[in-house]
Amino acid sequence: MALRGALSAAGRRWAQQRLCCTARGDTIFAVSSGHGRCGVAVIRTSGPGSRGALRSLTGRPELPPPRVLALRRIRDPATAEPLDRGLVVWFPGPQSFTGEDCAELHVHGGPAVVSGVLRALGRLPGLRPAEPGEFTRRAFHRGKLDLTAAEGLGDLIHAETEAQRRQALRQMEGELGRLYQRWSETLTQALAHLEAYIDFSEDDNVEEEVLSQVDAAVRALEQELGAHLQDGRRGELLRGGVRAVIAGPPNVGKSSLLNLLCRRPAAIVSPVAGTTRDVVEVSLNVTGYPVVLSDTAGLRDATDPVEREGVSRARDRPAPSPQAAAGRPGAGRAGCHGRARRAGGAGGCRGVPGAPRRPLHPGAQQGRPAGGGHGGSACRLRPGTPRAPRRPSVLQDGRRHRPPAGAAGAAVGTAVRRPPGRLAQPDAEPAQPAPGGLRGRAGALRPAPRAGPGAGGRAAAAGAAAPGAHHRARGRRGRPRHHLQGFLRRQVTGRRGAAPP
Amino acid sequence: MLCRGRWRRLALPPAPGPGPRRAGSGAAPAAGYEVVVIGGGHAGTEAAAAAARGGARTLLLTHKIGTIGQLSCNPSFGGIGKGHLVREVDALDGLCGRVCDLAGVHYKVLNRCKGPAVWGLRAQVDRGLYRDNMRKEILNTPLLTVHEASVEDLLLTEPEPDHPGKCRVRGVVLGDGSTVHAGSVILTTGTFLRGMIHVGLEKHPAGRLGDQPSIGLAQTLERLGFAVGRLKTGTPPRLAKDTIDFSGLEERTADNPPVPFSFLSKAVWIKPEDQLSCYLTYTNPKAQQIVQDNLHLNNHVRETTKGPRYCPSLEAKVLRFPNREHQVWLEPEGLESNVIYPQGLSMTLPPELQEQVIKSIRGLEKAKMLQPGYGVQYDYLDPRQLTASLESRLVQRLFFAGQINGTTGYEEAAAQGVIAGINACLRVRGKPPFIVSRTEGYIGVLIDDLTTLGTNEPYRMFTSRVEFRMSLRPDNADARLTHRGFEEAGCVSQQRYEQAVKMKAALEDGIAALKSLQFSVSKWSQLIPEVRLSSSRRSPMSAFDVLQYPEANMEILARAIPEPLRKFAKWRELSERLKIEAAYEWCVVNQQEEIEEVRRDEALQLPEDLDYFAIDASLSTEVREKLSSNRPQTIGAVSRIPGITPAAIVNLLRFVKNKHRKAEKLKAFPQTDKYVPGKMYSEKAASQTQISAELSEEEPESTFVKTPV
Repeated sequence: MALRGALSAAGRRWAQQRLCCTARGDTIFAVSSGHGRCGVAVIRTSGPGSRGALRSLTGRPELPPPRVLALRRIRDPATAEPLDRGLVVWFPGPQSFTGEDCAELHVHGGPAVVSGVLRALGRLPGLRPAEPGEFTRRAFHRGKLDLTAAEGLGDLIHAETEAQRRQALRQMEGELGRLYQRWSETLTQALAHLEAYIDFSEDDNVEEEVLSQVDAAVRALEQELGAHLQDGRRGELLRGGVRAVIAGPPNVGKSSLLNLLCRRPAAIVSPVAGTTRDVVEVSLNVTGYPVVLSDTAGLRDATDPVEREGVSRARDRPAPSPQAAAGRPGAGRAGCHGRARRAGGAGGCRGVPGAPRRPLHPGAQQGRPAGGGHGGSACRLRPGTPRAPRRPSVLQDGRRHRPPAGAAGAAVGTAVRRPPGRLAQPDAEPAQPAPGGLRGRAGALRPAPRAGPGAGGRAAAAGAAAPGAHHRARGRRGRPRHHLQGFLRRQVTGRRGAAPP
Repeated sequence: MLCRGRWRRLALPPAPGPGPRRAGSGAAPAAGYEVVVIGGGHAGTEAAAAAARGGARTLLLTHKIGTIGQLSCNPSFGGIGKGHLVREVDALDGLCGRVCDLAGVHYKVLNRCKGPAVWGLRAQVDRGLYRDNMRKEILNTPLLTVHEASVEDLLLTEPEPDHPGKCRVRGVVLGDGSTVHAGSVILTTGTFLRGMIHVGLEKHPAGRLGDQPSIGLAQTLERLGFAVGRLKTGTPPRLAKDTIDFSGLEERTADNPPVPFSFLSKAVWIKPEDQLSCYLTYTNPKAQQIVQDNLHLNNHVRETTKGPRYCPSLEAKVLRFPNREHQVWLEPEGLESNVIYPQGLSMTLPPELQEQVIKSIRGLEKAKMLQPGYGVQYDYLDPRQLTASLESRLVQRLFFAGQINGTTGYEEAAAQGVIAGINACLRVRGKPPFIVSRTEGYIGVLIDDLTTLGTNEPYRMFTSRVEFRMSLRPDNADARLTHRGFEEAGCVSQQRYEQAVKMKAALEDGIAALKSLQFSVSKWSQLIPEVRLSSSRRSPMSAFDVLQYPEANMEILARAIPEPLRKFAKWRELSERLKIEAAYEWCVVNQQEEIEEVRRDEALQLPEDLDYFAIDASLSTEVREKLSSNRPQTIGAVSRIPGITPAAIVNLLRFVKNKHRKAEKLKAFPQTDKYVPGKMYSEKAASQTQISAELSEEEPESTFVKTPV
């Protein structure tokens, strides 16, 4: 039985964790300085595993002297990746807040740092996140709690649970809430069926197939959860910003696209292939979402050593995840993922059909960077998982494409918000007409016959960072670069795009 | 519920001669007893016997000595979850398990195909044998006197100052106006408090067919301010066995060998092959039609009073699950009896319609109805007015047990009876109460659920109500409770205690021996080829690990390694228990930490007289209301009340702490109990970081003690 298997496997894992823990009892950890962006965040652990946790995170066998602040580099023990430099304090029990061994990590308050440290702690055996009020209760059990402190803590915890309640309510609204609700109901139902199977025997008409039904339901849910989690970290993208890379063959308009999007000549453009050598990074605020856009050298077998280095950097850049196959000509798609989290008050651009869009800037309503016939440039977010359809329906339908900049915002918004699994498809639907009134030409959107999905023939604009914003070039080989520049200039000056061919 | 019918009264054997301590119905009982138990049902008999075992001079008051131990409804004991309760009652040396083993006619372990933690020990018992054996047991219990009388009122006096409650009970007033003084009183009146029997449109006051209800007592309780609710239940008609055609029905035979209820029973009284069978038949659309067409003739069903959800009447089933066949089990009422109990056919239609329903069912076409089914509505007490020892908060030394607390079922009643009996006895002696924790037994879960959460429908035990189901198994009830019962409650006989000690030692020996036998997986595969071991197991494996495999058992292991395992395998009961211990070992180890946590929380007592509306703590009105109505006794119980926030729990922790500290201070310097308001506000405003820094040091000597009320 999958369920039994899963349960016993979970139990064994759990038992192993317990056994790995050198001393009895769980070690708990939590941010104890409140949530949200702040200067310094204090992460506290309590329990027998604190000693090991502090050693693992600081990467040093010796502990700092008790109750003295020490500056340490904090690393993720699993990856050795540095997370932050911060102050750590070691409180050996019983001279600590809870009476148990405690450690405190005072790290920079950025959400990425805090979540990184928490994740690293959570991966250590024997450590688990604390429940609300658990530190206080431990302190109480050890007889360490002062009355006034308990009262103060009670208020704080109250505030925290209040915030959690509000947050939970926020999350309960909308699609994500409904999704979680459905999972919860599935689990409750499975549990209820199992309990009924146990508590009502043969004389109560509980059929034997209950077990296999529950088994199937839990299996399906497990897969769904797995898919959802694989698509995780969207919330992190929202907090930490989306990294988008413009990559592709040389001389297809990557740098022009970058300049268009950031509205300044950040990268040098010239008609000569191989102009961009180094990676040019620009930080943008796209409809409220932080985006770091990187322009890279065109991918080709360069002879010039400087350009070769640029190409290799370009190849390194977009591919932290296996899915992000860099430099595949015409791979005009990108994915992004993350734990969907509603951005309170972030940009008006929602990335869903019908929602109002706020363009990046009024002039850049429409972009139509023409691609070289031998390939297009791909821009993708990293880490990227789900792929947009290679040939989006918008293209085949010959409908109007959306303006790249607004689309970029939409795409980023979508990328950080939309529940996974639904990412690709709805975004392939036609966008609202851009507010500036600028339209692409239907005919221009139809790819040239030879520019099949594999061969590309499209330069995916930054908008393509998310699947919604597919920006296509005309699929004619060897189109001169200045056409594109002229086109872009027209966009910036607000003139209408060229007529359909 | 019950159904002691006319046929039963006619068949009643002559009451046995007066026992050594039996006061005749005419003679007044001696003037004073330590414990007085009102009611002779499953809760009353267990309570009286437990108090007497504990050493208290006990009086059992019942309407009729002839009905002591009467099975009012179904002629069976145990079931899933309920079998656990019987085992636990037995582990505390209660009566029902032993008496069942003297009366069982059809033993069946339910849930056999599932794990041993949820096996449901169950038996059909011979109604007459059960009652006679129970009566014999009660009448022969030392220190226990039985008296036939109705109780009309309670004698009350000033409360003891160190306990909550506005008065204390000191005796009872009997129907004839005489009084009996008592140290503690246990009320186990079942469905008799303002009991009202319904058949069709007729209704008449009765606790059970043919028995008078208790009205005076109900009025007394109401006058004292107890919150009382109303519940209903029912019992099916009875059929004449010789008029039923069993030929076309499914037969269910009993287990062979039967598994006895009691840890003391090596075997059951009946020969395995002499056990009786049960038969299964089904209702059909015709029966449904009759029920639906005649709802207007069915007062009991139309009432809004809550009935037992898990033992519904035929009417309830037809209304909730129409167009289905419903099972009807035809259960024998005894070896000699010509009565069949059709389980699942509980109904309150007028008798002539009940006959029509019966005749519509396959196999029962010609069945003769001996007694119609009927419903009972009765008063029950909101059990949240009780402490975990089942003593009421309003009236000191007054205990309640059984159906009066809103439960359904013999086993639930018996379990409460044992606890009430033990505690009534301990209370008189001035000893701390005997409380079974949720982590120790189903009894603990039952009483904690009732006293903390209350109930608004008849409460039935289920394994799913129990958090630590893997540890609280029927096989180990003696290991969990017998030692405590002997040492703390004094309610367990020396013989049983010694047996439990012996078994515990043998189990420990056996586990140690099994764990010491360590071989590689390949060696094990040679030794016991019949057990397929997974090759991914890390070597070496102990014999205890091997025993976890479904195919493995002690016999196989002892064959492979006679020394030292043979001696364990020869003891059948021990070898079965070793197998179960091995199977659950990893779950139990995992649960241990959680169990410890719950125990720690349960060790934190909340004052019983705490006025939640008056205390100065940051608690919302909603939380205060919940705490006030549920009156949790420990922090653990607080955490189980729905809607209580972590913040509220922390604030209550503060009160526990405050109370302890205050008590200590008072002991040390009675007049230094002072209140320093300034400090509180300054520290309250401090951020958590500051607080944590302050608290990181050793706790400062605090002179700050706030008066809670």
